[in-house]
Amino acid sequence: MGFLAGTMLWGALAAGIPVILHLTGRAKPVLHRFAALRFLHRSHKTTSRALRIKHLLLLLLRIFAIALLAVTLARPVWPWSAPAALPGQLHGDYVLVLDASLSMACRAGETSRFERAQAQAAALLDLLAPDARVAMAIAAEEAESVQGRLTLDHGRVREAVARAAAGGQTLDLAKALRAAQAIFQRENRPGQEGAARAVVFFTDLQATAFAAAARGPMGEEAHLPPMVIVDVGEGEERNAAVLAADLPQYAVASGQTLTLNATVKPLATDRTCVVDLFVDDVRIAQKPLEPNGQAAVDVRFDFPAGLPGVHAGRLRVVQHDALAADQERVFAYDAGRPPRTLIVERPAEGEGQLGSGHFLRAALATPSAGAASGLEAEVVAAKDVKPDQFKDHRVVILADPGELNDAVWRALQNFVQEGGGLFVWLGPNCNPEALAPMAYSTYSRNLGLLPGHLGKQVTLAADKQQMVRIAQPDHPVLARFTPQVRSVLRAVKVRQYVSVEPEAADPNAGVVLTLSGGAPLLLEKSYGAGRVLLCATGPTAASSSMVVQGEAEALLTLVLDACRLLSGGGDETRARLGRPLVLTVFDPPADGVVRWTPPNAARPGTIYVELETPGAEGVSNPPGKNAPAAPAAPARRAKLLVPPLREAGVHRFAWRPVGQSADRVQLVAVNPVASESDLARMADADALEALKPWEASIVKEVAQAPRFAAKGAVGREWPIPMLLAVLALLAVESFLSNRLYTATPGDAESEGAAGDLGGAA
Amino acid sequence: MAVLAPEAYLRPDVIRQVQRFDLKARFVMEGFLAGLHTSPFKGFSVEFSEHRKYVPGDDIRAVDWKVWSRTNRYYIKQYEAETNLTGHLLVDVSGSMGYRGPGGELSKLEYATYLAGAMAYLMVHQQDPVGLVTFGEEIHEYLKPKSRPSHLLSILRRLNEARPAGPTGLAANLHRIAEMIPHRGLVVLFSDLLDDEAAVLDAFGHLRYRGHDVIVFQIFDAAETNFPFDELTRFEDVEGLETALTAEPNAVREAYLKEVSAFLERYREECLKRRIDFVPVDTATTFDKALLAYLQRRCGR
Repeated sequence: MGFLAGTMLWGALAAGIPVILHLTGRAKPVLHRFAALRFLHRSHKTTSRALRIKHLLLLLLRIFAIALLAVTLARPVWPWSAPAALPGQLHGDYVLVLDASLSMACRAGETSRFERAQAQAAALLDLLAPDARVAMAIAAEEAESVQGRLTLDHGRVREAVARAAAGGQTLDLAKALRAAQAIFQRENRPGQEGAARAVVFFTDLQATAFAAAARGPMGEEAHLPPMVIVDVGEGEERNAAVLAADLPQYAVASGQTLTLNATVKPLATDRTCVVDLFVDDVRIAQKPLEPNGQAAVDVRFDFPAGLPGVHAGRLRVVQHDALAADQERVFAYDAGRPPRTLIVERPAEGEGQLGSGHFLRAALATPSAGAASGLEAEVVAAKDVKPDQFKDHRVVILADPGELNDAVWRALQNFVQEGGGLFVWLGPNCNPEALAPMAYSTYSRNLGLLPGHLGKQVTLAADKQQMVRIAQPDHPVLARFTPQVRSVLRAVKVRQYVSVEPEAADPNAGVVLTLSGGAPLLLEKSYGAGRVLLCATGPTAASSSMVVQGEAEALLTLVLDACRLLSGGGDETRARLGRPLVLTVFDPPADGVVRWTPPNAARPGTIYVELETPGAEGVSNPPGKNAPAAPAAPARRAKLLVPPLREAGVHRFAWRPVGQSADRVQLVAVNPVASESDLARMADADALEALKPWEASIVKEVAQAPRFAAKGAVGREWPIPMLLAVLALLAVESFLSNRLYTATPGDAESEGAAGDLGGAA
Repeated sequence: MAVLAPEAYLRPDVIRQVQRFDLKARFVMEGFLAGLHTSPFKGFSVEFSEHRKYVPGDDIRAVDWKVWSRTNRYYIKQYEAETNLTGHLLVDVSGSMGYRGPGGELSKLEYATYLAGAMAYLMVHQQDPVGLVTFGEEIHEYLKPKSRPSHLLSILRRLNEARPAGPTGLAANLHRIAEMIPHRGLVVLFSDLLDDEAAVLDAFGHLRYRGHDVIVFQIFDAAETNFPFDELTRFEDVEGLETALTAEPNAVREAYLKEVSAFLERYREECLKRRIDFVPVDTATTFDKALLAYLQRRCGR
């Protein structure tokens, strides 16, 4: 309900006058000595309660009559008459926010939630007066301001509403509302502060989105415009979905048996559902699932990787429901030659001894989560390593190999410069004084191959061993660490390390892990097109407890993720829906053209890679003081900046490497957010609570909105019925008052005691 | 000065202006009798009963000469007065009887005394002995029934001197009076009956048991029967027995009048059961109505 003359509501304060008069204006009773007091006592006893109620009723009537009069003068506009509101009568500024999360694609009947939202938005546009301004934003994980400025061009907004579509993302409610508020703040012109305005939010009140919003601030309390939520949801829908389908392997070899771990949400917890596994659109497996009361069921598929090359797979749950978009999940893998890793170690010196790379080799060979890592590791002794040996590998691990000759270091520098990954472990065999000039200054065009200056070997006493601290929790090396693995990593005790001082002037160097004493333990640096990781301790039990049985999982995870990072692969077969993607293109084409084929597209589009010319990264690798001239080498990798991926499915990227006759293909699987598969809706009251401090109201139809703004209310005035109501109240009050206070003795005379006396004669 | 017709003195507002109490009673009685000229109760004072033969020793003034002239025999007229009806006037002089409502001409006690005085006139006028008892909580005055004119003056003087005071002891005094009166007679009670109803009715039964004819003049002030108050009033008991009460008269009037009506109705029914004449009057009622009730009772004997 809105008021067209809201200041008149101050008149409602006059409703307190009857109360004041009642309390202060009591009449002083007249004293009278009476004989028949006994009858008066009896009658008073019978009438006092009713009398008190009548008095109270009279008081309330007077209060209500005055308050109603004030409300009537304030010219209320009643929302239930909204359908009678004429199109083109709504003034003020409005920001339309359309929830474009995946749940809005739910289609219970003929129309989806998003289509209903579009229809309601169009209905609101019909109600707008020509002078009403409107803006529009589409809300998902990010709030995209389709029409970021308030405009009088309603037709443009109408077209934007019609073009909009629900995506596969989740809804970040706080971002959406902040965006709407920002539009108003940007458009707040002098003299317009009091103008009617409202945020109209078309959403399905999905519980997961609103529950997440309830945990965080929803905006600055000041200057929040009123909000009208148009609820386009239709109750809680049962939904079957594939929540997850992951290949745990980092690299896949042709002919290898792959393991797909999936989580399926069945339509009903008491009914069997069937899941199909497709690879390259051929169904290769099918499994029935018995939920047994579980809301989500884990399932595992083992299948052959197939011929060399890229493959696209999808897992589909065969159940019909209202939301089809989450019924299958795609994945992609490359069954080509896996990234080869070379471990350079110091071999065992005697019987019963282990080589320095033994544990790293074991870590790479250890099945991770039930599947082999897919990394093919080759071990070579430090004294046998050849400078030309590195070019056949993607990652080189120096497992505390001891002394290496100059030719090897030069080859390693070129290897990293061209895009290779180098993982250096500094164990007891390391001679920092000999290594520092070799690896840091002498052979570096820039500041050096290693991420810092090497100091001395430090060996700690048994009672002073140091623990591990995580300096960058979000670093890719640590990104896949579960909380358990993190805690295991923190429990690792380091007995020996080489002190490393990061180069403060090098912006490409960073510390990932430190010791509890503050000394850097794991450092990272990008060098040329490649990357170097330096671990200040060795991969053996003499250096730390990382390799012993209890903490071995930390070593395993650390090495696998480090190799994934250094090899430049891994996550690039997956991407998030609606997010831009940075793809690493190995052996990029000379013209930079990459053909991008989104799912269900007939023809590929064209995008261009950002060619990285070695030595051109002046900013990332500033020249050192006495740096030698950079060797000229062809770029082995390039960055491909892909715009936000709007469609779920497998995206295909193809390019022709220089000097080759066949295309190289990279597949990227894009899946919707699993949390959107939960279609449970939040209760209205809880949703309003989650939105605080926003002042919101929830309606089903936009025409029913009780309030858009003070001066642009939807609805109709009802002055005559209001006045009649006031008059009716006054009439009732007069009648009651007359009955209570002005009844004359003659009224009862004919029937009362006097009648009895008259009959005596 | 205009001369008022005798009937005018039946109105309380007129009789109030008469100074002497004996005149008040007399005027009421004369006004009542004057009003009876056209009534069917003609010859009330010399009411004929029967003829009987003259025997030596009878008063020759009683011989009916008209019958002698027709029949040449001596007959004597016998009159009702000879039945020797003994009347007892019981006047309640408790504090509640002193109440006079707003705009009222007479208090309940004044009305009762005028009515009792007029009735004493009537009784003495027909040679009936009449006595007087005034009582409040206790019996104040008791005059034995006599029919001499000088006795009438005593009654009138006692009535004139009666002043309302104290609580009422109606039921107890009626029991006492029932024991005090040795012979059957007519008992006329003037009271507002504001005492314990059951006890009063029990006392009425006692009087009836002793063979008395009983007439009860239940006297209310006009304000008590009409409740004419219209502003917030704090009511205090004139006898000081009941707790004071502040009430909005318009709100309680209906219930109050129902209570009063029920009170009168209960007395009416109970008196009917005991063959007692119950005459409710208020101080605005003209005296003839009250006296007529007495006359009806007198003729019924």
